[in-house]
Amino acid sequence: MDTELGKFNEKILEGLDFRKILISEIVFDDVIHSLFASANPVAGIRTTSDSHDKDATLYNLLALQSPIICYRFRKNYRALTGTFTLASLHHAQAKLRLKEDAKIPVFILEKKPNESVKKAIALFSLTNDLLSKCFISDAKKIGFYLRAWFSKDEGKKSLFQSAEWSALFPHIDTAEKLASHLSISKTELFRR
Amino acid sequence: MADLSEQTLSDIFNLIDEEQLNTMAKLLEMIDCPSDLRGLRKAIATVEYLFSLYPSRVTTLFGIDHNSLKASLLIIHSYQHKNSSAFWKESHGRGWKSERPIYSLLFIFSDNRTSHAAAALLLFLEHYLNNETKIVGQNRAEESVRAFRMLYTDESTRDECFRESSLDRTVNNIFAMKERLKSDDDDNYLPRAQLGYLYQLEHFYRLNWVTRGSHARKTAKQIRGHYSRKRYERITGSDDLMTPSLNTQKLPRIYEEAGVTKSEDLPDVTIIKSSSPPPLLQPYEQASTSIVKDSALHWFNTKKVNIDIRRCHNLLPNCRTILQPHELKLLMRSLTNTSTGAIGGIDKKLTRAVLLIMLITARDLQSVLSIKQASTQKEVGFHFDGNDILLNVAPEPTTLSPVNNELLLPVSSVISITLPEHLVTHVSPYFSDTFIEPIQQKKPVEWQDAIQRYLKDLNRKFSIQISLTRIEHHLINWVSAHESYDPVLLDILAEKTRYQSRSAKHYAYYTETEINDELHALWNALFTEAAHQQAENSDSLTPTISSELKMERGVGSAFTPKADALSTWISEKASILLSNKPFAVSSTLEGLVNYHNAYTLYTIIMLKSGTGYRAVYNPLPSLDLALLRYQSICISDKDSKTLFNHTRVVACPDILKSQILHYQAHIEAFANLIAVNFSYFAQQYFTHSSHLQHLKLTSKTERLEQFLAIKNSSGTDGMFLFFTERDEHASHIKKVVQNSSPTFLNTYFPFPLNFGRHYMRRYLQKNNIHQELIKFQLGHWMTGETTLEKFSELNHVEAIQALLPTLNGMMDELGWRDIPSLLTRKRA
Repeated sequence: MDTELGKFNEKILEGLDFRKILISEIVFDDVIHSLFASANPVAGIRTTSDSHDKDATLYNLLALQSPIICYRFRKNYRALTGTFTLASLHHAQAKLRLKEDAKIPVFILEKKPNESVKKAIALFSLTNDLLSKCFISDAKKIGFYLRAWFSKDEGKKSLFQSAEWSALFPHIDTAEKLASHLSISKTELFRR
Repeated sequence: MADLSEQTLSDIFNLIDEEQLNTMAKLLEMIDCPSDLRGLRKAIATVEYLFSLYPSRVTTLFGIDHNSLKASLLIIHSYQHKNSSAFWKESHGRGWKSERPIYSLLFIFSDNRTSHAAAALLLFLEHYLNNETKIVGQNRAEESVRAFRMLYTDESTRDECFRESSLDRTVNNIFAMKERLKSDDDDNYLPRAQLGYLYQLEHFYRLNWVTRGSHARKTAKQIRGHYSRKRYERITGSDDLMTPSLNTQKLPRIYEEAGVTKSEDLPDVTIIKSSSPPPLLQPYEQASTSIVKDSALHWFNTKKVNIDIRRCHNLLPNCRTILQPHELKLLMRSLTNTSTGAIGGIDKKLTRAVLLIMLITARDLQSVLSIKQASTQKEVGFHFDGNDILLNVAPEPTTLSPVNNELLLPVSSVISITLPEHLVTHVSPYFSDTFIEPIQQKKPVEWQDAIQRYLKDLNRKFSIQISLTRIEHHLINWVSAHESYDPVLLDILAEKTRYQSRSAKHYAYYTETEINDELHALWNALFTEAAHQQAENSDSLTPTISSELKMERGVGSAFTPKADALSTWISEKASILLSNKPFAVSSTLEGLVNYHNAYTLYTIIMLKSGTGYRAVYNPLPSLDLALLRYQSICISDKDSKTLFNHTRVVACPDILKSQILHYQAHIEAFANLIAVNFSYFAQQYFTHSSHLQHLKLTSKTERLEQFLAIKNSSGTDGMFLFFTERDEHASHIKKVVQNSSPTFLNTYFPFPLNFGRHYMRRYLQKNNIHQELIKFQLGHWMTGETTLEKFSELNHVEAIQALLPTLNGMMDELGWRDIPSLLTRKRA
C-alpha cells in the first residue's frame, strides 16, 4: 500500500478525535456535493420516499453505527462520510424530532486531507456500500453510479484501471472481475 | 472550489517547517484565498492592518497564536515567485462576491484602511466566521456581505451605523436608523435600497431571518387614513353614490398584463355618501351644529340610500323598486295598445315604442333617445335587417391596451343584439327606416314631459304607481333580485358600467350567439311574467343573426383563453411528465431539478385553473390552507398583510385535490433527494410536509400570527420553488432558487396568469350556475357584502357541493389529470 490513500490510512488513527458536536456545525463537503450531483445514491434506494418517517428515532445509535467522519474547516466541520446519517439527522430536526441544539458524536480528523484523499474517502464509503453491502441490486444502476463517480484515466482501457478505483479495489481491475464479484452479467452492468 | 494543497503551498512559499505550513494553510483557509493567490497582496494587507490594531482579537478569531501569525504574514510579504502576477493583481476577481464573500470583502477594504473601518470590519468578520454554518445554511452570506459593504461605503449611513464597537449597540444603531428612515417620509422619498440593506444587516447581526410583521388591528381611523379627505369620487355605475378616493392606487405592470384590473375591486373600505358634500365652509361660516341638528333629516339622509330605486343592495323580488307582475301586465298591455293620438305633440305610438325599448334594454330615456341609426353591423345603433331589428352595441373595453394573443378568445368592439320578436311584432308597424328621425326631432325635455303625462294617465286609470325611473331600472333590479341571470348582460346591452357588476364584467365573455340566447331567455322571462301565464309562443327561438362577418364575434373579457389552446398546453405538459422514467429523473441533480420544475409548473397551473386564483405571488403558500377534508381551499389573493378582505374558502375540484396530495408526497421525496445539494430548501420542504409544526404554536396569538404569516403569500416563499440557473457571465453559472412569482411564471406559461378566473367565470356562466355560487367561487362580492351572509340559506359545505360537479366537469373537459410524481414511485 504505497498510494496516497494508503499512507493516509496508516496515519489516520494518530490524533483522531471522537467528540460530540452540534449537528448545525456540520456541513457536507464539496466532494459530497459533486458526487451527489452527478449520481444521487438516494435515488437508487428501494424504499419509499418517506422512509425517514418510518425509521425509529434512535439517533444516537444511528450516529454511532454509521458514523460521520469530518474535518475542521474554519470554525466548523465538513463531513466526508456518513451522508445518510447526517441527512437523516437534518430531517429529524426539520420534523421536530430532534432539538435544534442537539449534539452527536463524530470523528474529527486532525488535519484537512487534500483534495484527492477527500474524494477517495467519500468514494470508499459510498462504493463500499454499493458493491459490498449491495444497497442497490439493479446491475444497470450499479453501472450508472460507477460511471458517474469514477473517471477513466487517460490512456487506460477502463475506469477499473484508474488510480481512484485501484486505490479502493485493487483486486478488481476489470469489468469481468467486478461482474463475477457481484455475480451479475457484464452486459447488464454496462447497459445504458 | 479548488483547494490549496500543502504541496503547492510549500512550493510557493518555500516552506519546509510543517508547523509553519499548517499555520499558513489555516490562515489562507480562514480568509478563503483562491488557489491562484490572485489579489492576495491586497487582501492580506487588510488582515495585517487589522492585526496591527487588534492583535488579540485577530489571533483568537483565526485561532492562530500571535507569533505564528506574524511569521506567516512576513512570509507572505517576502513572497517571490516566478508566477506571481496574480498575486499582485489589483482587480477584483469574477464571482468572488458570491463565491468567496469574505475574501472579496478583505480585498475591497484594503483601499479603506482607517481605524474606523477596521473596527467595523473586524466586528463583522468575527460575527460571520463564528456563525458561518448558520449564515451560509440560510443562504444569507452574499447578501449580508453586500449589505455591510454598501452601508459602509455609503457616507450617509456609515457613521450612524458603525460608530459603536460592540455587537449589541451596532444592532441597535442599525435598527434605530432603519426605523428613522421608515418613519420620515417627507416628500415621499423612501431610500428603498438602503432600507433593504439595513434590514439584511440587522437580520445578519441578530442571526434571525424570520420577518415578523406586527399585526396590530387597524383602527377605523387608520383605515380612513388611506383615503382622501377632500376628494370624493362617484362609484362607477351608480348615479349619486360617492366614495372618498384612495390616496394612492397603483397596480404593478405585471398584474395588468396578467389581466388584473384596478377597477375590478373597489378599495378595501368604501364609505358611501349619497351625494357629493357641499364645499367646506370657513369655521366662522359654519352653523353651530348643536342648534340646527335635525335628527329627522339625518335619519332621512341615511335611509335615502335604502329606499332609492337606483340602489343596488339587498333587493328582493317583491321590492317596490321592481315592477310587480300586475303592474308589468298593465304596462305591457298599455304599451302594446294600438290606439292613436298624440301627447305633448308626440305621437302616442312613438312614445310607446320608446318606453318599450327602455323597458327591455334597461337604458334611461336619455340614452334611448340618443341611439343612432347604423347602416352596417359594425356601427353602433339600430340596424334594420329585413325582418329583424338589430341593436349594435359597443360595451366599454375591459383593458387599457388591446391584448394580442392567439391563445385567447378574440374580442370585438361592436356586437349585434336582435330585439325580441315579441317586441318587433308590436312595434314594427311604427318602426321603419324613418323611426330614428322623428324621435330626435323633439328635445329630451319634451319627451320627458310627454312620457310623464302618458304615465300619469295610465296610473290614474288603473290606480297604480309606475314612474319613469321604475321603468328604466326594472330590468336591472329584477336581475339583481333574482340572481339567476348574469348582470353583465345588461352592462353590455345598455353600454353602461354599473356598480353591481363592476368585478364580474372583467371576467364575463360571450360570443354573439350566446349573448343573444341569454338575453332572449331573459326577455322571455319578462314577457311571461307580464302575461301572468306561460306565453303562447313560449318556444320562441332566438332569431339567428345573418351575420355579414366571417368569424363569430365575442364581447367582454379580453383574457379568456381558448379552451382548445389551454387543453393543448395541458396535454403537452402532462405527456412530458408521463414520458419520464423514475430513475432517470432522480439519479442526477440536473434531471431531478428539471423534473421538479416541470412537475411544479404543472401543479401550480392546475391550481390556478381549478380554483380561480388571481395572479399572485406564491399561490397556496402552505399545505395548511388546503382544507381537503372539506374539498375546499382557503385562498387569499390580492391581500394586504392585515386585512382579510380577499380571504375566502372556495371549492377544490377532485382532480386538484388528488394532485395536491401527490404534490405533498412529491416534495417529501424531492427533499430527501436534495438533502445534500440544497440542504436549506430540503429543510423547508420537510417543514412544509410536517404535521408537527403546529405543536410549537401554543398560544392563540402565535396561532394567529402563523395564519397571518402563511396567508400573506408574498411574504413567504411558499411550496412551489423553482430551481434554476442563471448565466452571470460566460464561464460562470449561478444556481438560483426562485419562488413562483408572476414574472417568473410568465416566462414559462403562454397565457395571462389570470386565465383561470376568466375561464372559470365563463364556464360557470355557460352552465347556468346561480350567481351567488359564482360570486362564492370568484370572490366577487360587493363592498359591504360577505360570503354567505345571514340572508343566504347556503353554507360553505352546501355551496361547495353545489359547485363541485360543474368544476369537475370543467377540469375533465380541459384534460387535466392528476399525475403522481415519479420520485415517489420507485418501481415503475
